[in-house]
Amino acid sequence: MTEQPKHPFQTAPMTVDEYLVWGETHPGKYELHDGVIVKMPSEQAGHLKVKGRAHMELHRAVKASGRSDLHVLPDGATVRIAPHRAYEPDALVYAGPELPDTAIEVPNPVIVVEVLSPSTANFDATQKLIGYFGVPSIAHYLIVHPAELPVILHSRQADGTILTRLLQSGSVKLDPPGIEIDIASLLAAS
Amino acid sequence: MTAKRKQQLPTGPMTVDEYLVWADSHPGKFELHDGVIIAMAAERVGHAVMKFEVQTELERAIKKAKLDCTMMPDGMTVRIAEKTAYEPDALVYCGPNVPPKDVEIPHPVIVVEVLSVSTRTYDSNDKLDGYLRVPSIRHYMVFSPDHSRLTVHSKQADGMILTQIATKGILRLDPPGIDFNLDNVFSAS
Repeated sequence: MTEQPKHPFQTAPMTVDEYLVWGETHPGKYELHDGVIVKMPSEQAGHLKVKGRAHMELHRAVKASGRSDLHVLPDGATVRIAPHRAYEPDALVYAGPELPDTAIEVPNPVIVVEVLSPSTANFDATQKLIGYFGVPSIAHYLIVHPAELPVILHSRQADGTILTRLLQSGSVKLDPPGIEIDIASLLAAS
Repeated sequence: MTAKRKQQLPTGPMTVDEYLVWADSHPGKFELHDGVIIAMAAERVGHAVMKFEVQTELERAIKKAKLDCTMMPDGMTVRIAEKTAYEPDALVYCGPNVPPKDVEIPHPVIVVEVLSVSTRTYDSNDKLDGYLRVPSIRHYMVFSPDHSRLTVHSKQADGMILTQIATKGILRLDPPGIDFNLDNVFSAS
């Protein structure tokens, strides 16, 4: 997505800090890619539905774990990747004290989720994979196709390597933070 | 490669065998996704250059390792399932040469895709799943649309998939046992 046109209001490359200030007065879904504000495409109904389900399933899993230090956020929260790069995952889980209601950036996500859309799928699978694993706190990156299995799960292992799993069904333990999600529930209402 | 809209192509679901017969008399670049023939989009210069650099480096690495393996450029068919066949941007297979008239490579060990910025499909997810289902395929190399990074998904002996992200240096791909030098690829393009 690096060749996207600049937002009409943008005159020079931005840092994430500048972008977050800008974002406060500009409604809409954006990301910052190498200093350039990128408008995210309109979402299709299937994409929205699955995003909602992923969010609900993470909620359920966190609740079931009994961990009060884990928090789930739907899309809209900003994750800082680099000084000029910020993404907005479709759902995330972070650990620690709950962020204030006014926060716009999540500094320590553990799990990030992207639901694919046709225009961003290749970007999500390559650039975002690279970007998210550059964030030390992120242990799992879950990529969900809105209509098809498998769900792809990339997990950082203790030795720093990334384990990739193609999940068709069943439940999978995400550790850290220690929650168990059900694959089928990500795609279809249970 | 980029899967584009369906043109006036046969619409009935096809098996790979039927598709290969059809493709024999239809010039152009196609793939078969779940029984549907997909025409591939016209290529951009950056994509073609990147593809060539990767093919050249694979060839060099095989020669250096003195292996009985062959690099094939794009155009060869890899059968994924009964109704799905892909054409990777490059591949490596080992063992006796595939006969010159064949269109299908039955046992690739490495497959490569160079993604395009313009690609508007779910290619990357589907292909990761598809390629890694082929028992002979051990490494699926994906070059990012900005041609600066490589993601390699490698199937281990125990069936686990390890993913590596690399921007430079030498990457060991074993099997077949080659050292792929990213500096030769990224500096050139």
